[in-house]
Amino acid sequence: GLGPCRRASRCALWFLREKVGRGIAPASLYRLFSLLCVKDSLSRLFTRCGPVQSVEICDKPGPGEKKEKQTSKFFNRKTVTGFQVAYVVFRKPAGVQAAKTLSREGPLLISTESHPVKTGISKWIASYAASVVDREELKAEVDAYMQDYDKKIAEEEAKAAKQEGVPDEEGWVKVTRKGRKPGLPRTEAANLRMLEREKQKRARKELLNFYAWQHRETKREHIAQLRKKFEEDKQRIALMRAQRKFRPY
Amino acid sequence: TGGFFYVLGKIEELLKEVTLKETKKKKIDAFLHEISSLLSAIPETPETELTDQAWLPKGVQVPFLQVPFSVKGKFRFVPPTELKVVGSYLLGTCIKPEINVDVAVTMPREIFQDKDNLNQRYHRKRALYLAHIAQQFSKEKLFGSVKFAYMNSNHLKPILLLRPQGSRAWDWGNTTPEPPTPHYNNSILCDTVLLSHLHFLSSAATDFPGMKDGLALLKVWLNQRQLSKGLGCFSGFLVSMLVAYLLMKRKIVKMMSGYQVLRSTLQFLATTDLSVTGISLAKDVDASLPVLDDFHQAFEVVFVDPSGLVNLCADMTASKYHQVQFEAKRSMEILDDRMVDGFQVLLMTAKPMLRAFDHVFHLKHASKLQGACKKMQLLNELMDRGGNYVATALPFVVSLLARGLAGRALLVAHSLPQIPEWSIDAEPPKHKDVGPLTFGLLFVPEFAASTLEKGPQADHPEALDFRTFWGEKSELRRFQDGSICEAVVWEADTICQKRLIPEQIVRHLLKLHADIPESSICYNGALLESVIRTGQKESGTGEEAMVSVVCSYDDLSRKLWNLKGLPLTVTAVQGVHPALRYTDVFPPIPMKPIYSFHTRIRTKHLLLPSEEKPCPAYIAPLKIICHMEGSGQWPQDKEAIKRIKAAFHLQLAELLQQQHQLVCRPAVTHTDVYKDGYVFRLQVAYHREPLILKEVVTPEGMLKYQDTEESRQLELETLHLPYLTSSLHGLQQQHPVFGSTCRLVKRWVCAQLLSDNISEECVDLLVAFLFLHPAPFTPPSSPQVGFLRFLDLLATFDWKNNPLIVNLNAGLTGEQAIKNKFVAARSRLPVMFIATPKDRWSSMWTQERPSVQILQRLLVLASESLRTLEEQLMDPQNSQDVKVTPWGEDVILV
Repeated sequence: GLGPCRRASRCALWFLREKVGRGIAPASLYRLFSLLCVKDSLSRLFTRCGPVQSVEICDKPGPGEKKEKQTSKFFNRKTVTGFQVAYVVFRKPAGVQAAKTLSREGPLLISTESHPVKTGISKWIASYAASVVDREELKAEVDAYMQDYDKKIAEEEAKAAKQEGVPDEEGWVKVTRKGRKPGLPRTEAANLRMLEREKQKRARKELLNFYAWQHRETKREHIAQLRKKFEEDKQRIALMRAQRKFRPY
Repeated sequence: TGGFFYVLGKIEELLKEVTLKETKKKKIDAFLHEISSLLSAIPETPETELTDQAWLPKGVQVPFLQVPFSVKGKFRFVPPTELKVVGSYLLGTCIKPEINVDVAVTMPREIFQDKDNLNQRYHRKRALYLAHIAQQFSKEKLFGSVKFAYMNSNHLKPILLLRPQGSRAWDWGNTTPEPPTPHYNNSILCDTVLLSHLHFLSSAATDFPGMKDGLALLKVWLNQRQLSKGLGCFSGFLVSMLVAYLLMKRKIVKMMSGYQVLRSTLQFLATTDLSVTGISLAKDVDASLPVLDDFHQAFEVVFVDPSGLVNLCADMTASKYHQVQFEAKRSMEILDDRMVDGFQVLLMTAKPMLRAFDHVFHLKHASKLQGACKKMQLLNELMDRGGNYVATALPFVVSLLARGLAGRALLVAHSLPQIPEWSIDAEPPKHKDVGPLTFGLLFVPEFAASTLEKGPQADHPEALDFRTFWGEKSELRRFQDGSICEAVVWEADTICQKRLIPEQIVRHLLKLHADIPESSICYNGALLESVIRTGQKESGTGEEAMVSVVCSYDDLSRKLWNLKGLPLTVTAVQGVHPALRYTDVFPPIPMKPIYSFHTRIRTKHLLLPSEEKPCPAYIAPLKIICHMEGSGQWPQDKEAIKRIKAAFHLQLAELLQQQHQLVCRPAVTHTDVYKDGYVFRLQVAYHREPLILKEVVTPEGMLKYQDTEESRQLELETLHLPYLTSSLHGLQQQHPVFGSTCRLVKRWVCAQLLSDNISEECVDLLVAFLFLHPAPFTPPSSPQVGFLRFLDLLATFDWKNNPLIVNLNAGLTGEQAIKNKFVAARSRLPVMFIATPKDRWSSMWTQERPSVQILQRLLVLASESLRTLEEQLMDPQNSQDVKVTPWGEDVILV
């Protein structure tokens, strides 16, 4: 492996492995890096081994699951914690070979005088400044998204309205809320409610304690219940006694 | 709390635990027999003058304070005529932890002369007699130890304490027949009627099995409340006599069970004030006997024995009786409350003074009461009490305080003077050896901190009385209604200082009327509050800061309600930050940015801190949830809802800026509002959003709701936390020290380095429990007592087998269902389970934390901290600066 990077405080693990085929271009390196590492400083560092084509940063090392493109500047931004993986892709395979021998040249510095990595208070100030949202930009993005959304919904509704009451190839008609005769919503809650209602209906029909045997049965059950409770109480007390719960002081 | 059998069963188990086993009794009987034969073998001594005590061997000292020494009279030892076991052992009502067998030794008539009842001659002879027996017994191998003690700490009544080879104590009194000035006389009379009392009690106990059980329960009840030991205590004997009285009055019948005896006796105590209407066991009306009024003249509490001559409550102060009465009242309420486990609370929970009273103070040097007797002109009373200035001054001091604190304090109580036993070759302990006396104050929360003591109008005759009582503190003041009255105004600026007004009163009155210097008083009221003090200046304990935060928040929420130009109306504004429920350890302090420390970025309306300037102060944002009206316009898709919420944040910021000139900074998930030096973080919520997050469509096309991490989080934030915050805000309005108690507790948790392992909301709920379910105590009225009870709760609650049910807003019924379900599902539930009306089954604030190990650690730390802290607070000689910073294995006090 390579020597640890000096300025990156959380960077401890370095792996070096050649990756062939699978997704990314043949000449790529993969390493585990700390958060401080940023794309351009990486590409700057590795240009000494050969021209760098691209640097990709992802959460986990793995075969080229291409990250879906970040579509929004504001929404669904993941905050990553812990280590990330960077893929450095060289234009030529020779670059990889050169990188492999880097370890002998001493530690690589990410933060140099010409390109310092912000740390401490200046980093906080920068991240505070970055956290401030541009109102116009945000508004524009939201508006655009909502327009798309409204259009999509309208289309879906139009489609549903067209299919309303039209039987499919097997002759079934889909019942919806919007139709002339709205059916029950197909939710779990509605199902449970219906079952409960059925149960009540059935219970109402049954006569309680009508026959002598029913009466006897109820009585017996009642006594059994009492006896069970009595036994339970006894057990609870026995348990408390075992735990010495009856010592007042 | 379970069925009928369950309650009875528990009582039965308790009785088994505290009563004597049969095998023990046999051993005791054999031991008594041996004592009897030893006693009759003690040789007689020749007659000598009382003052000539040379005949006593070196190994023993007379267990009596012989001041003045010279007195007439002769004494010689003659073996006793009779030896009788008296008291609870014979009645079978003797209970643990202190199994004492009282044995009365009757001194033969020939020892006594005429007028022995004068000048403590009787007491001297009694003490000499005892000294001789002690000396003889000390040679016997039969006894593990032979020691003296005072009976109920009454210094006129020495007794001999014999322990067999083992460790139990044996009491010896001695008695003589002789006929009757109040306390002094009473002490002689008591000895004369020991046997008749025994007969009286044993006749009451025949055919009455419930009495024995009832007395055992009553004694446990008294013991737990520290009422049954010391001078003027409510002893086991006294309570036996009371039960016999109730039997005589048919308030108790012989059919009753132990539990019923307990209940009837407490009922009687709760409703009868023996310091006003005394009771008597004397049956026949004999004209020669004193009447109850005579007793009331001489004693504070009156309960006359069957002979009609002895007051059984002679040493009891009215304050002590009122405490008993208060406890009985409280206990009756508890027994009638179905929500409380009466058994646990009444009989199994100890009520030490520190945890029972809001403020506790110590009189460091009991000897100062000697001066008090002089100042209060109690010399006659002092003589009556045989020179015991502590017993003489105590009732007067207590009633002085009770008058000064009337209206503020529900109860002014005192500890009972107790003198430990001493070995027979040592001098008997002096009066000052009772150690420090402790007083406890229980407050009326509404009035305890009032700065004004309004007296009568200046021209009324009572005004003079008021002036003499308050001394130079009293001054004439004109009130708003135009009246001119005497009044005392106490100086206090902050809430925490106001809570200490009772301290000012106590110190002032004791100095003024009893000559007790301030240095002799060690007042434990706010020693712990230094850890929640805020700010650099004398700005109090942060309570005012919290009120100002809440005021600013209220104003903001009003502005939000009335905001014009929003497409949907605001339906609710709810705080979620701890400061908005008064439980933030250090509430935010209003801040203004220092412009010169920042770079101004005009395009973004932004002040950016400069690198080379000092770091700006951190302003913790106060999170507020702003619920918007539900409407068909809301999209039913989670991504779209996020966008709409962001749009709302933008719009809220704009409107607040336009209509109220507030500096706002919108973001995607919230809008920060800078107002009055605080930053409020507004978060818009839509009530159906959690539901939409839960939606799952099954393969059959059915819509199901399933909790997800995201929905759970959102529900916590927008539903449960606002509810908790508003409930606890309400609790603070009822109990003004709730917040401060919480903050003390959080400081403690942090000091243990465990704040990451227990959620803040969980701590808030635990403290809320102390205020909502204080039984057997009353709700705390000082942060200190709240904190002590928190430690006790944490350490003693049975987390494994019970859910802690916190009945917020009294909105809970059917807690039994919770308990049953809890038992059934125990292994799957969090180790610390807290149920509230809106969260019965999940205990949401303790789901992830604390873990089993952390809880275990917390319990250990809590009980250790409690022990150390109570030790410190009960020891007035110790340093005043109590700061608990337990660390690692041990508790270190700085």
